[in-house]
This record gives sequence, structure tokens and C-alpha cells, in this order.
Amino acid sequence: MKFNGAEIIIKLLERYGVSIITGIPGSANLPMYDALYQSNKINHVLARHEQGAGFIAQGIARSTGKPAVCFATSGPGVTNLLTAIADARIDSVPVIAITGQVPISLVGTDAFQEIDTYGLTIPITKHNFFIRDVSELFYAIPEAFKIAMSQRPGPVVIDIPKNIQQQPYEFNEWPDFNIPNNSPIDKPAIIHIAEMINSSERPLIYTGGGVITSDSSAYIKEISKINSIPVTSTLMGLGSFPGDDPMFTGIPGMHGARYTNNIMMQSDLIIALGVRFNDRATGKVDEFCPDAKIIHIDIDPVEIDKIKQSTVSINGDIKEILKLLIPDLSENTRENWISFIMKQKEQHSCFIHNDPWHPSNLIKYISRIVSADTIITTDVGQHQMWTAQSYPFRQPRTFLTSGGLGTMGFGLPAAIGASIANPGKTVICISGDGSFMMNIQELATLADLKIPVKVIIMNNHHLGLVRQQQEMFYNSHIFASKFITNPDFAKIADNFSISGYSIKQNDDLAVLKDALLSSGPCVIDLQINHEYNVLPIVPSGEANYNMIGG
Amino acid sequence: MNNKIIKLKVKNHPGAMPHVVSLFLRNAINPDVLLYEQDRNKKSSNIYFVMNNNLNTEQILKQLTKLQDIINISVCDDFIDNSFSDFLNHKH
Ligand SMILES: Cc1ncc(C[n+]2csc(CCOP(=O)(O)OP(=O)(O)O)c2C)c(N)n1
Repeated sequence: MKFNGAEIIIKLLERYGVSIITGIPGSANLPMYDALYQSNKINHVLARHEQGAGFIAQGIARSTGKPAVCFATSGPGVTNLLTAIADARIDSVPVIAITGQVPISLVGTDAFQEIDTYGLTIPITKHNFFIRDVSELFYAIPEAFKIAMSQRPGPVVIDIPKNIQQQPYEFNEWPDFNIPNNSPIDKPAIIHIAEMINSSERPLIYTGGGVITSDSSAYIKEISKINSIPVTSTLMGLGSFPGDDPMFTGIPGMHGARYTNNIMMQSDLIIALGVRFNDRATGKVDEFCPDAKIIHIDIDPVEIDKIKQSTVSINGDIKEILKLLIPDLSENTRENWISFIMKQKEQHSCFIHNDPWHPSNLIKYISRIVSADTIITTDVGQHQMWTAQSYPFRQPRTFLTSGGLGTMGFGLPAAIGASIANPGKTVICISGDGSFMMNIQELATLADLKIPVKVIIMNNHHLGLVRQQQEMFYNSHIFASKFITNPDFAKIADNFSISGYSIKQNDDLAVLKDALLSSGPCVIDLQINHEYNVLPIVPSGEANYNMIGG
Repeated sequence: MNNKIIKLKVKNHPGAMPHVVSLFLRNAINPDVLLYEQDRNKKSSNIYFVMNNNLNTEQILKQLTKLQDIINISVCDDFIDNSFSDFLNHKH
């Protein structure tokens, strides 16, 4: 067989089941686009900014668990992509970014659009490759898929000089591709953990994004049921346990409910699954669950004892470990503990507000209209926290949010990616008027595709979360957080050929309902009162029991 | 306090060293000595550096282990004075 480098790349991607590539062409990746032109297996989605392409790929990967590929050209194409790659790294998302580079003879000469992609992406990828010879593609591309998907997933960058894309190469066979099995599990530790759970009085399962990645939700439900263990989730873990189940106790930490933080404080055994004890969740870490023993299970050895010393830990795949654990768990009703939890939930019932136009109520209203498999993406800010607090996520991979990096601008392109990968499902992007502007150009991509992505802008005419911090912690010095002007978002949508709706406070909410149930994409500008704060709040750096408000 | 010598065997290519060094700043590793040598087979290289003992070695080793280009890691922690070259001679 004889193909050029670009054809080899596209054919390898086809062999690995890639059916969509999103990106933007430019001089240094045009040979790959020419090879893609000839492919009848892979469709291309033209984004309007490389960050948009990166987040579209993330939307595909986060909603399916499968690797997603994006393309960018050298120089500014790559720098535009960096935020989306860094975001994928911290939230463990398998994105493979294939970037064009100037011809190898020009590398190191400050050639037009030359940038050190490899150097720039070392700290924000799981791994990266710089291809010096066309033969290396046969190693690097399968390896990139393996690395992106195995153990703890993450982004991989493959930087490919233009001359290598153009170089003809003769070869006999395509390389094999298989993802290695995870390492064997420490059985004695499992028996020990089962004993700890059986003999504990106030255990609490604490799930993170790792539970969703390892596809373990069904096992969490089973354990919670057999042994009567309540479940708390991190932001990234939402959807790993049904949000409307009485045993669900919310998200802990900075914007957690009072009862959630109280329950965590009372627990004598935290069963931490696929979490990384991030400061937003733990508050002041020394005072996080002071009386509890900690069982920590994670695929990534670096996470174990990184922040919180565990009593027992197992490094491995959560699903495989839980499967082995379940037979060793005894039935238990834990009446005292469960009644304490139910009382806490009653006494400190949060997120209940009289004003029907309180954002929490609007989000609950949305959740009642749409089906349980609806995928929600958010941007970053108050609207994100209100969504996390009040939307009852019932299934894994239905909540896509930028958890670790907190990237404004994530919501719309991630929703586009999720919609592409899940035809037939409705995807709602809950955004803010600040965040939405950060990748608003992707409305054009959405208009190209005409897929059912519904954008709801919770419009408070502010960078709301910043305004809240200034009000609470900077003597109400509201500065640089109120927009002097804001566009008419419904009209903007119209101009992109997308239906736009404006809903003012106390208008008839039927408009919102009709828009959500209509076919095709839309943008809904939902005006809200800017004075609402996300409560309760644990001031940054304080212990989780120091909650203000709520 | 004793220092540690970390020896990393890595895949031999120009991009391996930057991955290792990228961990230095975040972990406050400012090595007294850092040495890179290619193996004769040209397939692997060795990176040696002296690390201050009051750093969180366990966490750093875990992070190093995760680097895809690392083939193996060894640690020598009875390294007392600055005779790094003695150590190297001894190891070879
Ligand atoms: C790219 C980026 N820049 C800045 C920030 C800091 N930041 C966090 S929340 C926020 C305000 C978000 O405003 P908006 O999207 O309108 O949401 P709201 O808080 O009003 O719901 C800002 C500026 C960020 N998270 N991401």
C-alpha cells in the first residue's frame, strides 16, 4: 500500500471508528483536510473558533465516553485550542487534537505560524507527540487512542509537520489497536473495605467524575440499597446517582446544601469513589470530615493521598472493584443514620424559594418539562451552581460542565458536540450572559447543523458570580462586573437563522416550554433578577461548616 | 538532611526531557545536579537529578511514573554529600 501521511492519518482515524472531526483548516493542516475530503466515513464539522472545535469534541467525548478528534492549524489555530485542551485535561476527557505544524525544515526558524505546540501542551495534556518521520504515525496514532482512553482518560495532542502529511509512504499492514486491560485488583484490600463498611455506623458514598468515566452508576445504586448508604456527589459526579432518589444528599462544599455539609461532617466512613478532593468540594481540608475514616478508590495513583490521607485505598477501576465488593456487603437498614439524614434534609431543605422567578425555580421548571435523558451543559458562574443545586440529574453523562478549569464559553460548543453524538436527544445549554458571549460565534456552527440545541441564557446583565463575590467579600465594591451594554440575544440568534426568544420576568413561562419542546435549535434570553446570590456559600479557604446563608 | 538521587530511564527522544522538567516548577524541585545521558543502544536515556529530601517524594514519584516516556525509576536515598559523580561512577 502507498499513501501519503495525511491519508494515513485519516484512514487510521476511520479504522478507530472516528465518524466526526471538528476543526478549522489552515495552511499547515490542509493536506489532512484534503485527505478528509476524500473520506466517506468521517464527517467534518466546521467550527468558527478552534476553542469552539475543542469544546465540540469535548461534548462528543463527555456525552459518549468515547474519544473525539479535533483539528487545528499551526500557530494561532493551536493557541486558540489550548483552553479546551487544558479543560479536557483537568476533567479527564479523552480528546485527541491533531495539529498541523510548519514543514520540519522550518521548525525552529520562527517561520510563519510556527509555534512550539509540543512545548505548550506538555502541562495540559495526558501526553503529546511531535512527528518527525512519516513512519511514526503508525505508532503515535494508535498510541494516542490508547493513552486517551486507558486508565484515567485525558487529552492527547499529535503535532504533525506539513511535509510529513504530504510525504508518500509504502507499507504492508495497518497497525493493531487494542486498549490494554486495567491492572489487577488488590483482593485482600476489598475484603478489608467490605468489613469497614459493614461495621461502620454512618457511612457515606462520595462519588466523583471517575464513577461516570468507569460506568459504575448501577453498582453504586446497588451498594446504596443493600447497605443503606446515602450518596453525595461532586459537581463532576452529578448523574452518577439519581438526583431525585431519597438517598441522594446533594453536592458538598462551597455551594453545597447545608444538610449535605452537615451529613458529611457527621459521617464515620467516607467511601470516596473517583474523586480528587478538590478544594471547592472539601473546603478547608484539615476540617473536612474530621471524624471519618476514608476509603479512597481511584484509577489514578496520583489522586490517592494527594490531598486527603486515606485510611485504606485501592488503585484500580472502580467498576471492577465494586463488582468484587458487592457480594461481601451485608444487608443493613441503618435506621438511625437514615433518619438523621432525612431529618437533616427536611430541616435544612435548601434551594426552596417563594419567587417563581428565582433561578432555582426556573431550573426546576425546565427539569419538569424535559425527559430524564436530556443532556444539560452549562457555562460557568451562578447559573452553573444553581443548575448543579436544583436540577435533578438522573442519569450519568447528562450533565456536562467545566468542573476543574471552570471555563466560561464551554456551554454552547459542548452542547453542539453532545447533540451531534446523541441524535434524537434534546440538549440544553444553560448559560449566563457573560459566558455565552465567549463562544457566541458557534451559533453559526449550530445554524449549519440545525440540531436541537436549546440555549437558555440566564440574563442578569452581570458577571453574576463575580458580582456576588464583590458584594459578599469586597465590601460591595461592584466593579467591572456589570455590563454597560448587552446585545439583544434573541435578535442575535435570529441573525444566525436560529429562533430567538426573549422572556422577561413574570412573562408567561409557556413561551419557555414551547421553545424547549419545539424542534430545531433556539436561543432563549431569560431575564432574571441580578440580586440573587448562590447560597449557601462557604467562603474560599474556610471549613465546610462555615456556611453563609441558605 | 539527606538528599535523594532520582534516576529515570526514559525513551530516547528530544521530547522526553521536557516532560520531566515540566514537573519541577509545580513540585518545587530545584535540583542541585541534573544529568542526561543517552544509553549506548540509543533507544533509552537516563536522567539523574538530586532532589531535596523535604519534598513530597511519594507524590512526585507517582507523577513521574505516570509520564508515558518513562521506562523505569529508581531512587537512591542514602546519598549524603555532594559526590554525585562518585555515585554515578559507582552505579556504572
Ligand atoms: C474564561 C473565564 N474568564 C473568567 C472567569 C471568571 N468568572 C467566573 S464566573 C464569572 C462570571 C460569569 O458570568 P455569567 O456567564 O454571566 O454567569 P452568571 O454568574 O451571571 O450566572 C467569571 C467572569 C472564568 N471562569 N472563565
